Amino acid sequence: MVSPLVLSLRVAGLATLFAVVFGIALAALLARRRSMAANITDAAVTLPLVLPPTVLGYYLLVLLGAQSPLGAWLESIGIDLVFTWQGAVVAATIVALPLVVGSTRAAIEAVDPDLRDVARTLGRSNTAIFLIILLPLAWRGLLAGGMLAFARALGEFGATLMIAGNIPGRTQTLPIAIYDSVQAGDLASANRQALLLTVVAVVLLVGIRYLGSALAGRNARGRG
Amino acid sequence: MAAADFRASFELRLPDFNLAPRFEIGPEMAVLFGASGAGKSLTLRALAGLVRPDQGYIRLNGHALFDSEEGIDLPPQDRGVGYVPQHYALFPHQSIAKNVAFGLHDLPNAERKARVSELLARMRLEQLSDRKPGEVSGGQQQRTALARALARRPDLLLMDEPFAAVEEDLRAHLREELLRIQKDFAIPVLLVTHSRAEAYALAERLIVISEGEIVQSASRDDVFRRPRTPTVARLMGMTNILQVKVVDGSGTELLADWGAFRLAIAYSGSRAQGSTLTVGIRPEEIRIAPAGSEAQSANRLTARLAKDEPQGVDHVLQFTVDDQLLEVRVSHPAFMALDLSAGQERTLRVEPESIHVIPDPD
Repeated sequence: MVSPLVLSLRVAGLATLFAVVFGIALAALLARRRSMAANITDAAVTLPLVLPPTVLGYYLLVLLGAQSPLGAWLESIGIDLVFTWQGAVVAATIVALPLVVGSTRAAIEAVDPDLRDVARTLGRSNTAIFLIILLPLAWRGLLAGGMLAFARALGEFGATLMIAGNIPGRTQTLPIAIYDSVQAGDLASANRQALLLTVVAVVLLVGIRYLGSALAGRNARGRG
Repeated sequence: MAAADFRASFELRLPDFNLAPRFEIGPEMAVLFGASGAGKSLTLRALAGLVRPDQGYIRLNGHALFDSEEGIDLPPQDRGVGYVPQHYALFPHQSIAKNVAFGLHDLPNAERKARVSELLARMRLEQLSDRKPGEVSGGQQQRTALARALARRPDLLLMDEPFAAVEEDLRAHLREELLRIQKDFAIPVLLVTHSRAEAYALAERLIVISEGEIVQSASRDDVFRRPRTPTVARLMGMTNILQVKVVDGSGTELLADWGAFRLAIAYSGSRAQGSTLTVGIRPEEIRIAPAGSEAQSANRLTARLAKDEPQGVDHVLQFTVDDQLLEVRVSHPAFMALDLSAGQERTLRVEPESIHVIPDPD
């Protein structure tokens, strides 16, 4: 038995980790690229932002279910994502990913392009330039993206319900538990759980705002 | 001509601009000079390998950095070209020492440290090695950027408007230092500027670019004294460009008519009688005779003052001669002594040596 709060934090934490890792790689690939392939990738990554979560969850269910080739293959190597908390992590990662990519990409593109050009004339590889110059200068954007991703993952409901279901103690995250409490008429529990999520959201938002203003302040000085 | 250290001849076509520079430089201080938008920075970026020309070649010490016919296009990493962009592009989150060491990643530790301290000492930056670029002055930032570019011992150094971010009164000192560094490293240095004063102070070779093409490339004094085209003449401050008609081109001095006035021009070549010739006169090489002098002999023109434009210590005076304009520059004290006001008529005088024949009208 895992409490909804612990499960929510575990799912959101892992989803944020995956979203940040994949998000950095995608942001590095997409920054300052305007090719057709880049645009299509960008659209695919951004899609979960505009798609209703239930639709996304339905697609995941179809894609990862035992009937699909991918699902069958995953099952054969012992990975079961349908109606498990790991499935919730997949759903939360996909909804959180565009927030990390968008924020990190914007921060990378805000870095003076001359820095990259000079670094190239100094004999450094693109990977080294990304790790030593671009990422450290874009860390505030990455951190803000990570916090947004965590908040979004923590509040994930629709897609999670579709792929992971509502199994108390196994896949019942906090937002789903709130829904359950309201359905059961247990408003005391609903109030407590809702307040908990609200406090976490407010703390994250204040943090993001602070990072945003610090970033703007640094850029303004840089131009002076 | 002996093999130049550096040769470039390429074409780069953009939707609204065509860049087609062609020039060569030796181990000297070369200045690429032109108006804003002439293609100076883009030329440097192409030489550094940051933009790809459509065709042509770029050769350094006999080997190709770029050659469209042979399919060679070395990446910036492999060109051995140092590049200092405008505003230096120092890495703001790294110390001065780390900035300088950035390109030395492939050296063994001890050697890298030695190279960095040698350069920091050479640029008088040892005391600042742990500071961030944002914590040092413009001149120190410039020296850091130079040290970083020179650390890899490049065979060519490119600098884009290196003095733009430096206080005015520091520039003369930094220019001297840059000239010394060029001599020490004995590599071709190509520096971009749109400032005529800066070009004059620095250039051994002056390369003038206009609308994407090199209009003249020669020693500094050659370009200043003998501009090849009216465009170069204007860029060099020779603002009076006149069309004259040759009367007698056989003697030691060429005689030509400009409207009603006859001019004697110091010119060694010969020109057919009746042909048209383009000449240039610097505004500071025209003398204004005191009131009452007559305008009879050659090289004396009767002119009326149309406008007085004070420019700091000088006055730029617009005179009308018949229906044409002539610009004259005089110092403030000289202007006061002349007691001139708009509408007055005066005699202007130009020495035959001050009238320059421009061989290639645009």
